[in-house]
Amino acid sequence: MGQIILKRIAAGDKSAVQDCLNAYGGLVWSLARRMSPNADEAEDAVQEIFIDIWKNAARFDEAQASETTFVAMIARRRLIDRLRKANRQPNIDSLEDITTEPSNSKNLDLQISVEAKEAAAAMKNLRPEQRQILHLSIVQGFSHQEIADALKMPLGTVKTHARRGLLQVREFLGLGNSDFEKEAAV
Amino acid sequence: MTDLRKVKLLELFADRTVFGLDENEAMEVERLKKQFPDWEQDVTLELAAAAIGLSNLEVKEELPANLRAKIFAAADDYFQKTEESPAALNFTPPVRANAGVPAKGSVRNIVETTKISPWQWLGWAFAAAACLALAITLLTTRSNKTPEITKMPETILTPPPELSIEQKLQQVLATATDIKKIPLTNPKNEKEIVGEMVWSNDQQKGYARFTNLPVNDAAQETYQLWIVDEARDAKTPLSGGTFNVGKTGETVVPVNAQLEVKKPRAIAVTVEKPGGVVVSKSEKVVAAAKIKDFG
Repeated sequence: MGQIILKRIAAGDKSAVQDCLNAYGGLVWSLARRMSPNADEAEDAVQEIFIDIWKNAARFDEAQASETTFVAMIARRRLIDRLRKANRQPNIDSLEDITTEPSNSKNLDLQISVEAKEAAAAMKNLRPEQRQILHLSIVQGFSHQEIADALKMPLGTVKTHARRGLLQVREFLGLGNSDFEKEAAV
Repeated sequence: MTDLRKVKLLELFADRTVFGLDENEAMEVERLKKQFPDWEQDVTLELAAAAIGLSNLEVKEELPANLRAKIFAAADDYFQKTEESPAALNFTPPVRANAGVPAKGSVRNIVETTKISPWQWLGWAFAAAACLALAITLLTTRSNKTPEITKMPETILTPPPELSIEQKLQQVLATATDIKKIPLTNPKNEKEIVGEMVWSNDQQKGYARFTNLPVNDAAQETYQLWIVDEARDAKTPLSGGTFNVGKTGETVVPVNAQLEVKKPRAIAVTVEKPGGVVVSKSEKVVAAAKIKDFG
């Protein structure tokens, strides 16, 4: 997949919208379905996300990440914002899922972007509690309070595990800057 | 020695990325960011979180067609606004008044709208001659020393002007090898040609040119172009996008098909509510065409 769609969008090339939807429509829709309480909410979210993508297209830095990861970042930002504003729960099948370990998905989507594959590898190297908390928060969309309640863990501990885990993944992906890395031992 | 303010800011960035922040935390981030402006634009934690999210994502289904149509309609509005006002694109740096530097993409507008008197032309001619003389002087007197200024100021590195729709149409005509020109007629009188659509299946690009399509009130209604694709359900033609006619005479619009067009068999232009519709009732059809030998 060419990595030029966002540049074309940023340049005002409206024809790139079709390519953008072809390339990332399914991805954004899947993320929205996962992090929205119902299909109607997901539809609203997807529309907002694509406008966000067009607005932020010029900020995409191909030296930093793939287009796919950048699009996912914009989508995630919007979805979290919507969840928080409405103080709603993401769509999950059962609350029992909350304490299960993330499965090692064997689907093709591990190849969805270079960073995704690397992030999966990075997650395997985390401590189990870090991996579990990141999975519950980032993948499942649970709040720190919900995770603390479900895992019977102090709120501060949940946050600390999440921070350390995320920083390690970022370091594994080679995304950390030197200034950040110096402070990484939080 | 560790700067505790940086540690705190990093913690807050991580919390924001994973869980989001409450109001007080958000205010603290804003306060701390002012002390570390270098961190203002850092998105590395968000990218890492996005990658984690993707690592476990199953993309099982495509974007629903109706939602795709809505996004296309939103794209029409968005790009129209950004064309009218490039500043609407968040990333376009503001231009100070009298800065003498055009905003990105505004060069063509200035050329089209600015009237320069013969005296001004004369002034420019003198200025150009002076520049030429200066350049010759510099060339003849320069030393081998490398000039210190090796990079032009960023503000004058304007991108090439966006091609007009007519130019884009000509580009498709020049580059596509499967161009089909489809006459569009008045459905009430098939002998009356109201326009022509140019379409390339290979490039999935096309343009429609209309003559004397009535001016519409964009607040009340819009034109919407449809493509009947034999490879899909004939009852649900593909939307080719919406457009408005702001002046009498000739109008050229791009065809923005939502999905891949495989075997186009018919074209129609309907009048719909602003933003367009997902499925047309075809109550008001203003142009139509049948395609016999394509795809």
